[in-house]
Amino acid sequence: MNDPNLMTQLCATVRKAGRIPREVPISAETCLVEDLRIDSLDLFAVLIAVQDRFDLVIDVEDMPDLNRVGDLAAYVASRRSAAAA
Amino acid sequence: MTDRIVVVGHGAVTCLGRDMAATWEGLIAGRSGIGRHASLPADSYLVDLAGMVKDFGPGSSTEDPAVSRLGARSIHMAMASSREAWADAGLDRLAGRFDPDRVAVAIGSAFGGMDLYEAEQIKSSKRKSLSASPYLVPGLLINQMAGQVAQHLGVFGPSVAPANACASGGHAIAMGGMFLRSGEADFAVCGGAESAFTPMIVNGFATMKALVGRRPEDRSAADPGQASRPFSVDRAGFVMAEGAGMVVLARESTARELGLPVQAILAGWALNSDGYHMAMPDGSKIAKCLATALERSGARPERVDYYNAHGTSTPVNDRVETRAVKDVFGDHAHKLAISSIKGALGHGLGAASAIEAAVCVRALREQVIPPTINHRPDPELDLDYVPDHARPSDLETVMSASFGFGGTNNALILTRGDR
Repeated sequence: MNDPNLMTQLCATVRKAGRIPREVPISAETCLVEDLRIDSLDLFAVLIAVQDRFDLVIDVEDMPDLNRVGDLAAYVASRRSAAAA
Repeated sequence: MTDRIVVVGHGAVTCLGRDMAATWEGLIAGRSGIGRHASLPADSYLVDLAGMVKDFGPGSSTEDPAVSRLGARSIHMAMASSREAWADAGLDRLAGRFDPDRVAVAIGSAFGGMDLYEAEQIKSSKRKSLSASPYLVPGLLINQMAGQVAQHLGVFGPSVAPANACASGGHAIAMGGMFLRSGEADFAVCGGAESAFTPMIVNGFATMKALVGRRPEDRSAADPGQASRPFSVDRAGFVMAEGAGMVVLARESTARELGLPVQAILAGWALNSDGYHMAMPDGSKIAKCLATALERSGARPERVDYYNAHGTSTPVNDRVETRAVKDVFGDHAHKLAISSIKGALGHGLGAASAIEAAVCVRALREQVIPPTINHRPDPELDLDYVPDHARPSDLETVMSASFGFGGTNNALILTRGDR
């Protein structure tokens, strides 16, 4: 997953939905819970915002694998590829 | 002498302004806050006339960060008006001098977070598995307004959320009075908040024929500000509005002890039920409610200087209410100044009666009666509706009454606070 636009959009979506202050850096390596301190309610809000922003469906059973922002980016990219196929 | 219940603070958010000062200024100037709104498009809404609060709520430049996760506009309105009333009372500067466990919160609403619910429902149809925001349920609950106000003012007494349709706010103020009278609280933050602009609710009111519709011959076609015209011969329904009104009540001894200026006395109240119809009012029960409030306040009918009417601008309400006022006040009805501020503000549903109570507190302080704007006399309604222009007046005792679908009524009696 090397789409810089996707990563930029994803970071902005995570920041807004997770209410992350501007001064906190977000990158592919950033962990949603450990690094950004996103609580369990906001985690759902972030994933729903990602669904809405990228017009895709996140399966509940996939949630345990979505720990880092990079995991989310790869997930979004794979869903887009699957949809395009 | 019993310890009187007094008003020590008040606040409002309305379509005339985001605080009480702007609201009062607009009311006294005879301005309307009603307009046509692009956010109510014809492909979804049967009516686009509304009283909306500009630049307010979730996502706006004036968003309250304390409640940013909760997307229901009514919660933001409850917060803003409560913060204003709390500061108006001076209680924001008196932490440590009163017991926060003895501050009650009572905030009513007809529809609560239905705006959030319908918006989420539209999105959820596309989302499949992760379909609902985790903030939907907290934002939808009617008692979340009281909960957020308690949380952010840092008060921990009883909190309640009366859901009594268009009488909710007045019921909440009466309940605040009950908490004080029973000794369960020293202060009560109480009122109502509402924002219910969803296709289902707007269209539901429209199909009941309760709203002013899109008719080219209606006055509102040329001037939306004339859509709401209580007690007028050509009144044709109400105009939905959003907003909030709040008062802070205290026992007089507590207020005096803390040096809080007394803005008005809550001299009495009454609540009752029509037991009659799902939506049509029963004038005899309304009259009974008004008479009971008078009796409990100890005021004789002829001592009431101003009656702040429910005055929705529907053909039925204004006729029934006028008759009830005549039944209760007798000859004095023709000397009594009556006005409905819904001409300017539209109908704030569960917030309306609390906004009206807060305006009555301001009227007592300023000794001015806000007018019924857009008034054209109806030969059948022959009382003094204070048409179009604010009226300086010697106000000692005022009554504010509200009635809701389901046949639920309240009447509040307020008197001057400096006596």
